[in-house]
Amino acid sequence: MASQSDVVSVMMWKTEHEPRNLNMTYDRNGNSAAFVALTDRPIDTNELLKHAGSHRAGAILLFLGTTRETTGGRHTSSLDYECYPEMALKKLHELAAKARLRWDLVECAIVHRVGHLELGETSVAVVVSAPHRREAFQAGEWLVDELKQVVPIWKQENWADGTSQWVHPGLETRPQQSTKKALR
Amino acid sequence: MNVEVQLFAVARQLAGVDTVQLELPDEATIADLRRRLADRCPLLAEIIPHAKFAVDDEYADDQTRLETDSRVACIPPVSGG
Repeated sequence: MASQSDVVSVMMWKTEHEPRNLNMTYDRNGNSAAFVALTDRPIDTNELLKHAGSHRAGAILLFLGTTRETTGGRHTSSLDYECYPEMALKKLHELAAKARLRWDLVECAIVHRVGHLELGETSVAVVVSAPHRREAFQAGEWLVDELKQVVPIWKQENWADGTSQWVHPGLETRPQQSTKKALR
Repeated sequence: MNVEVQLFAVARQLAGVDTVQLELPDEATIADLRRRLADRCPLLAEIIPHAKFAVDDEYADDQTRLETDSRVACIPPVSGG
């Protein structure tokens, strides 16, 4: 695989192309269409909304996670996201498939940004369309909650004071001077 | 057997490398790999208990047995979103 310092190029496909390789399950209508991607470029939300549109849909939900300036009283100047691409894509596919089994959805798309992000940029987009809004809200919230628990993607805060720090919930990490120096 | 472990985020930062090669006995498990990795890279010792490990792109538990061509990754707590 690519070295982690390389930015992941745009990787995307529709699940129906490789459902077997990914242990995919199918939704209640026998469909497995979901669109998941990792990208090092700004996320095109209009494209995602177009993807979600359908005459079957009565609701389209778009969730955007954006990079925030203040965390616990500290100021962030930018963020870097790193991922384990093969497994991250696999887990995103699994989440989309599970959501489609659990709720009656028309379309489902998840795109996560990797690499360097400035403040206010979109780090993740989740789009869900459904015949009714309740399913769309529930599925969208569930997808974001699960993504934050299981998908191997990590963020590094680049603090305004010039230090950087990997974020690992439940694990204390130390800020490092923002140079990529090997420690051994 | 020889197993390559991919490192990410703080694990990669602490070790200063993207991957570590470990020599493990046949039928070694993830629990064995955790110990060997901590011996080999003492700087990782404090985070290894908090990390999950993946084998062939799937989360594995400590009893999971490894094979020579297993694709192993150290997954510290994730922070996407």
